[in-house]
Amino acid sequence: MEAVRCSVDCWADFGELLSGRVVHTGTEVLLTTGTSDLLVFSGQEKRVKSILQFDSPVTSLAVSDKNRLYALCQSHGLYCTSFPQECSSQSVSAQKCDSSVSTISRDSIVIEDGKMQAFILVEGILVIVSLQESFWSFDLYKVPNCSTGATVYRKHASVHVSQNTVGARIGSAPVLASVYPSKDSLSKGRTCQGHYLLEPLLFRLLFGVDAALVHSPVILCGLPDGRLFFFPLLFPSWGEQKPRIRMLHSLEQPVTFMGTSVIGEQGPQCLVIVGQMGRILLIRASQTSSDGKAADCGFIEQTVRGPVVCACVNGEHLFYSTSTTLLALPLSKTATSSAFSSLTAAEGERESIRQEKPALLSQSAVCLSVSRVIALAEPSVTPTGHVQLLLLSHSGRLLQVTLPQESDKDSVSRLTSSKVGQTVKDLLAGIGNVWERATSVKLQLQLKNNVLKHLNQVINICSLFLTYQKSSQEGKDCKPPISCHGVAKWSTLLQKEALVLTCTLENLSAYVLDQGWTLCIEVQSPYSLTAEGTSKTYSFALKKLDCGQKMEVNLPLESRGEEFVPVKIQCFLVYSLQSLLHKEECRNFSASEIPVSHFLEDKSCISLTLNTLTLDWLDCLRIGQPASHSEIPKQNSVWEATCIFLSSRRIHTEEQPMPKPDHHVVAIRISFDLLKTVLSFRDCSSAVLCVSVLNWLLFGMFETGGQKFVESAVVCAHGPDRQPVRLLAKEVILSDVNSEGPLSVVEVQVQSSSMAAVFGLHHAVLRRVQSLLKDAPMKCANPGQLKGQRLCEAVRHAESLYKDLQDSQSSAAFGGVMKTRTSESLFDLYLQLRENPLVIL
Amino acid sequence: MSVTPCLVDRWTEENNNIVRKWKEYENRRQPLQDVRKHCYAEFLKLWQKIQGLPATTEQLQLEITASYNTLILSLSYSKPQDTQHHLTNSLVRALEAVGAQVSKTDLGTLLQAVLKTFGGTVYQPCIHKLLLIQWAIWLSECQFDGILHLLQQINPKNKITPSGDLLTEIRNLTFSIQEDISLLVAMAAKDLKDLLHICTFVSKGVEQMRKENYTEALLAIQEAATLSSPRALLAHIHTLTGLCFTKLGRPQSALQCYRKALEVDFSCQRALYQSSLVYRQSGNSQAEIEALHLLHSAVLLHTERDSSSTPAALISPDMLLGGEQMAFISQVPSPVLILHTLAHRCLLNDRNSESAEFYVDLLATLQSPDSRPHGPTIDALPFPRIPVVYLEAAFAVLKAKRFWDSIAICDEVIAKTVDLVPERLLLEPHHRSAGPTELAAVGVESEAVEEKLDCVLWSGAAYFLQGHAYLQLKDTKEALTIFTRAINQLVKVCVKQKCWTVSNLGQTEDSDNKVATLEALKGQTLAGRGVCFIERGQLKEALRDFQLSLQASGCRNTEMWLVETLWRLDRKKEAAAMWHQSYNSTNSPTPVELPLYLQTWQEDATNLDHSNLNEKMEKFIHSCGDITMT
Repeated sequence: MEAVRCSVDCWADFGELLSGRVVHTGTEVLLTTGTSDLLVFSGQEKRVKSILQFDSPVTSLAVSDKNRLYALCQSHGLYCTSFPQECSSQSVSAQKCDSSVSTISRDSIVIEDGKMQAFILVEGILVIVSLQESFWSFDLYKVPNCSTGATVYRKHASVHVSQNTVGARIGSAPVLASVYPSKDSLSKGRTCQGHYLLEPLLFRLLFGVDAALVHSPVILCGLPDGRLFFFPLLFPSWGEQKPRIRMLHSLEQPVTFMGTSVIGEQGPQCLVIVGQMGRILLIRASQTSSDGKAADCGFIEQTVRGPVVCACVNGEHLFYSTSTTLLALPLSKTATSSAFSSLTAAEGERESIRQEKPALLSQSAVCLSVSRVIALAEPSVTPTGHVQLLLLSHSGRLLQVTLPQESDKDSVSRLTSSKVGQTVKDLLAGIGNVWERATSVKLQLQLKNNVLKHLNQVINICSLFLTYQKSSQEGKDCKPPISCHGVAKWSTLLQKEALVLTCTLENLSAYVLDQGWTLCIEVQSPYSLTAEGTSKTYSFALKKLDCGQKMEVNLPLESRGEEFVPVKIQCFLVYSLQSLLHKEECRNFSASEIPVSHFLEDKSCISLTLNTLTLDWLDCLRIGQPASHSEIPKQNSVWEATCIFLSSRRIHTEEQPMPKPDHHVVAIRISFDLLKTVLSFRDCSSAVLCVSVLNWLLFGMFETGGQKFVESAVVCAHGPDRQPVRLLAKEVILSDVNSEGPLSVVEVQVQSSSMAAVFGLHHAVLRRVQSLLKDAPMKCANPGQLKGQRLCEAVRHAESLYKDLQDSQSSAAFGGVMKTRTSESLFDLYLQLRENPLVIL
Repeated sequence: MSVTPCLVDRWTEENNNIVRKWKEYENRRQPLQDVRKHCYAEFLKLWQKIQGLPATTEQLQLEITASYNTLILSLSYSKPQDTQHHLTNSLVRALEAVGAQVSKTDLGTLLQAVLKTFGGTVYQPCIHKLLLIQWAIWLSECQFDGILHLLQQINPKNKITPSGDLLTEIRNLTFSIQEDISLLVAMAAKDLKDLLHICTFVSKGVEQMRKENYTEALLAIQEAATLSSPRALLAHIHTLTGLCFTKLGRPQSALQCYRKALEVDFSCQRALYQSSLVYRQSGNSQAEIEALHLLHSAVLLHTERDSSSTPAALISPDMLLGGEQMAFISQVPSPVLILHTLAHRCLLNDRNSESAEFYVDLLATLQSPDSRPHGPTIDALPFPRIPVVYLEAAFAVLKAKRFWDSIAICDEVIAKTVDLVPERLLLEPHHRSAGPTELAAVGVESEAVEEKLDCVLWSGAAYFLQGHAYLQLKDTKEALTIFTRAINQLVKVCVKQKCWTVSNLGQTEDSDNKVATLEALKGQTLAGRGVCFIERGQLKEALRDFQLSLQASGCRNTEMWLVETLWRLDRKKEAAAMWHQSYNSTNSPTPVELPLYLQTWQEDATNLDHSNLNEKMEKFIHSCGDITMT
């Protein structure tokens, strides 16, 4: 037997009781406590409102719809009194009115008969059961119409049933109930105390077609000897051949309760009769089955452990009280037990099955943990669906018990031990799931935080650059936070000589360059063969570059020929937004075909421009290895191969071969004063100056400690095209340039057999000087004497010449048709250059 | 022993005041129940006050008068036992007043002692008043011996020798009735005595009637009729006289008596009812129906008026005659039964539209919560089963050509019965070792089987009536369906033996009747379907159905239809033979009493024009004869 917890609300305490009865009439509760007093208890105010004193103990009660109270007193008869009136509203507001005590006089007796046992009020008719000498008498009295003042209760009819002394128990009264056929099959099975609705089919099967046709209620009476009788109430007589009152069944023990129960979904389908010793009779109709069998009714008798003191039915549940505890029995289980199905399968009619296994049924009963209940009122259902029972306990307490809702009760009561383990497992699994989810959420949060951190850094660096840009625009001299320097070097790898550019990234900012940053180096050679020039980008992913650290990267400069010099090298720092995302997520995105938002594509990135470097001929010179190139096996470049091919074909042309490989010489003159001022040579000999000038040109510095890269005024080197080149610096005194007198000038001579090298170097030197001159106005206070304008023109001239040269070269390379013109133009250029020795002041 | 005379005077005054108050109320004739009760309470109080003093001769007159007044009122309020108890107390106190000692225990000796003590004294009239109360008590309990004994003692012995006959004794009763003017009484002793006189005669008569001793009853009642009596009582007396005449085989005299009764009191329903019975016996259905109609409206009026009854007299004959006697006298069937009888009679007399109205009323009465008859009434007359009433109603409504109403009523019956009908009902209780299908009928209460049989009959009949309704609506297709359903219902019952004798059934005749009804119904339903088939031109099916119908139960009409069908099928010789046979055969009367809704069916609706057919047949037979002759 399982137990259910239900909330118990104690309304009142009346002290020890022997017997009692509770009737719930809307707002009021009528109580009898075995004495001659009838208590009217207000359910709302939770107090006794009035006490009606009768001459003898009240055994049963009824309240008519006209607010008349009928009370049956032992050995006196039936009293009828008006229902105690409510206190007037004024007095209630003024003071809490005390319970009024009123004595009901004998004048209120409407039917005087000391032998009355029970009564019921149905449709304005009082049905009274009395025990005469040898028979039970059912008397029908019509309740007079109060409005017209008539007070006489006329006996309309009476029926007799012989008394069965066997099995009768002294002290128990007959039980009366009225049963109506329910018109609506879904209506509730209960109207009020003692009045029940029953499904029409079962009603017809049990009580006949006639009562159903005229919708007459049927009075059902359970006698103390266990016999159940019924007769239709509103009905003309049939005459002799049919007995008026008929026996339905015999329970063989005093009847405690009769009612109808809802089983299934089709209204009140089951007649429930409970005996004092615990026998429960259920009468149900079996529907007309598909094989055309007529509808029939089945009687099932089962037994619970008795004694049953009182009982009531709500919906599918029978609530009954043994002398010790209150139990709830689900009738649906009982009615659909195997016993019933076997019964309906049999063709027998009105056979009853009697099960004498109290333990079996008692097991399915649920203990409500309320002890010693002696009276139950009709259960009510709260709007929230809870069943409320009003009961009177042996200890004299008026209790309101609210049962847990069906679903709650099921889950609580039907948990077996095997299911407990399962439930625990489920719970643990649930916890695990929640934990997993929490972890993943945490991870995501972390990722987001990281991303935000990264972004923050990126933004910081960006803003750093912005401020730098601003300040540099304003003319302030400051260092870039992050800079990149490049140096070109020749290296020999696998007997192949290659020019390698070594870039150094220096982080001078306060921020760490983290993973995700990429150093991009774009190498542009604007003077390449194609019109728009070629460009190549190298990118190096940074791992981590702390503040003040440097990073070196090497990248090869393609040495396809000499055409690539000079090159412009641009450095960027690129932050790809994709790296913000977690790798796995990226993978997921790429795996799925979902169009990932475009900002995550490769293009979307933050790019910061660092410095721009220019690499020219001077930077690419190989110094001090004049003899080496003959020993090294020459690798034929495409250009050389073309040259060889062309030279082999030269016999067919009548033209003169290419200009002789005698030295072309180009000279650049720079005034002594300028150099002295700019390069801050104060007092030194002209020879030292010349060396210094060469050093400056070649290495970008004049005196670097003790280290001197060039020690003489003549430097022999190889150009990138591997042609020998000679650089020479000497002092020349010019007399015609300056009006003020002779001008001592450093003449830088470029001598080479290769025209390209000569021009390239010339150009490079001029560029250096140009850059020097850019700074000059700030240092030199003599702008009027300078012929900077001429110098600039000379540089531009040289550039155009160089361009023309390259054009001619390309046309020579691809055609060879216009060779004469080429050579002519080249020669012109050369002459021009020679004619204009520049003096740079 | 010194009772202050002023106290006596005051009490006398009080007594007189109460009586005056009562008289005033009585004259005004207002239905004030409270006044009556109030008076009773005041008398009771006075009486108790008087009894507070020891009984003395000075106040004996007053005390007895007060007792009389109290007891008269208590007759209508208390139980006879209580009144008797009070009366005995008063008598004992009277004896005590004069100093006589007597035991309370035996009423007879007490009365004897009282009469002996007070005989010839001043107090005799007062004592006689009290004894009238005793008479009334005994009368209401029908203790005629006690009354006889009492009266014998009252009557001076020297006048007439005691005859032993109560009625003679009453006739010869000499009562010393002298009213004391100073002491008022609620009801004059003489009036009470006269009323008791009549009532005793009536009661005696009724007792004789109950013993079926009508001649003597007639004597007693006729004598009562000669005396002056209240209106209602006189009407009852006339009715009882009529009842005796009826029993004695003199209906005309009886009718006259009933008429007299009605002249005296129109609301005498018993007289109306009885006259209707007499008319029925004499076959005057017109008058019978009229009487029933009047009765019905009277009953309805009465029930309406019932609650607001006119203020009853202080002592009503109803009170004196007692409940049982009155019940016998004014016994009238319940309004429902009257209505049913009325409707039934109308139907039998072909007053179809009226009948239909009455039946519809009846059904409404059965359904309505207010006017429903309650409970097992004391009616001796049986009311038919409710489904039967419904079927009769459907039949009546159908006859009144209200087809859709009829169909609706039948629907109601079908809905209630059809799911109770088993698939197969075998009526053969003798062979218990039968197959499993017969278990349903075997070994089960006969009552249940009979109920099932009833259900079959009712549902079958309901379908049958519906079929006819549709047939008359010319919806032959629907009619065909319904008739087929009816047949399906009816063939569920299998009767193993042709002669169905059931030993374990109490009412064998009843069961026989039901089986016969079933067969008749089957025959008529088949015939009905046959007609449907003819209407639809399916002659072969019609022929089959008519033949089956004749097998189930023969009926002249069906035979004629069969002849017609054969004729139409061009089987003329067979038709002629059939016609000849049925024409010459005498119609055997049906041995069983069919229910109303089947009884009168034969002359209706599906009837064929016999004359036409007969003519046709005669011609054919003649021509055949000619042919054979030649």
